[in-house]
Amino acid sequence: MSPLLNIHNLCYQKIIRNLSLKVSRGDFIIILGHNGSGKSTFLNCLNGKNAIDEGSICIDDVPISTLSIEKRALFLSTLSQETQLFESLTVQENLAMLPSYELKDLPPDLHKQFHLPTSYLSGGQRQSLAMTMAMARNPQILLLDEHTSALDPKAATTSMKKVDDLSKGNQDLAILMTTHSLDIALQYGNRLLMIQHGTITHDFAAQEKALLTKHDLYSIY
Amino acid sequence: MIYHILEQSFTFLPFALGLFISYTILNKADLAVDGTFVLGGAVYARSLHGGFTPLSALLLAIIAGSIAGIGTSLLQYKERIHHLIAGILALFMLQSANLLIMGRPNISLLSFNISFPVFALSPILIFSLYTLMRSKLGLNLLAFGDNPMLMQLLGYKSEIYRMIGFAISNGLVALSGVLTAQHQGFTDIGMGLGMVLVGLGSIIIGSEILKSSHMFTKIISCTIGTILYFSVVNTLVFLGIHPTFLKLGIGAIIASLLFMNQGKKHVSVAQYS
Repeated sequence: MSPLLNIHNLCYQKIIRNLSLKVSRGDFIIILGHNGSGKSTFLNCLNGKNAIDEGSICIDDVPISTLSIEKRALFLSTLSQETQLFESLTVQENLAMLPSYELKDLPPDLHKQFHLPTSYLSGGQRQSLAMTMAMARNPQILLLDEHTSALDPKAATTSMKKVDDLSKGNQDLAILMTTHSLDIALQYGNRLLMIQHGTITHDFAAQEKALLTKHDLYSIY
Repeated sequence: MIYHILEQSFTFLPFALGLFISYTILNKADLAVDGTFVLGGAVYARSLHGGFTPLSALLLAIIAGSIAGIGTSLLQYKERIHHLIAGILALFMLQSANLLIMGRPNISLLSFNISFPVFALSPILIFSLYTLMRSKLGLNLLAFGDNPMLMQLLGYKSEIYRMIGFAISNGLVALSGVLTAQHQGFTDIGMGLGMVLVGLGSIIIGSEILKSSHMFTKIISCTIGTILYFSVVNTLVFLGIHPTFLKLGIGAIIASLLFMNQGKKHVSVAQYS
């Protein structure tokens, strides 16, 4: 069975160097790496924000490297800190930007804030809305770029549980998530990648990942 | 005097509303509007002299303004050129285009006894703009001004909304150029000089006085800002201020108004609930 996402020899401005990766349906991949290692740049190569220099990206054997950001949005959804919501629009208006939505899709904690600008929402509520928006297009691949980094521990846990439920509930969906949290890396996901200097240095499958300790991760970080 | 102030304000209002679209909605300061303002007057004057009816000359001018707006938006395509630089470039090119269209620096319109109903036109424009902004297209324009990258990530071709926004904005500016030219009885190649500052001043004054997140209030605040600006100008002229000090006086009064208004009003959460 061909992989859902097939990345071959990806290069981008000396930040990403000959990176190759195969992602299957149902994969929930946690990507670790120190600051400047190329984690976010890699995700931005996938969603089209960064135009790659060399290599190929295929989804279901369809090359997407030359597609625009908006065309890639048919396959991919991205959730990152800086592009989460339309800040000056209300919750209702944000949802109206989606191709289709129903009020029942809206997380219950946002019902009261329906007519408020999103700038009035708490970190957790913002995250909740952004996740709803990211998933509304039924993407095949969900890219999460340090999306919990600005949240307090409780909100971060709630957010991660939602992602985990999403992954377990939809075996056709692949999730790639970058984080600096070793706890999150150990607790969630079924595959773990380590990126250093723009290339994958470690790739732990579910069984190997289950045996890892925080100390192991810290030593290879 | 009040009639005179309102007449001037409503003649200028399409310009302020056009700039409101680019500056407030799309979040791009379009400096090319000085050129589009003249373009409107130039196309109108040449069309009238060429035998067109006033209405068709007016429509041609608006279309020309919209095309100029699309041109400016193409210069900014995907922010390859910064919107301020793109505006200056477009203005630069429009100066030549305007001279080409006019053929000479000044065209008289005194032989045409035409009067546009600016008092009736203004409420129509305000209502039309509000209706547009309440539509899905309006929402998309707002979303573009807020976060064009997120728009793309949601699958929208965001640059289309830049183009549409600039076309509407510059079409309105060209309309104001027509109304001004007809009101003063001539189109002059230099009549657009500094108009962008007047427009921005009107928008800022209005938004400081009537702070709100509601679209209708924002549009009304733009109108109030325009009326206030022309009230200040006319009051200073009425008081007999020397022309040398006119703009200094206007600037000082506007700055005082803004200072006085700072911190007085805040948008509260309660307003939305």
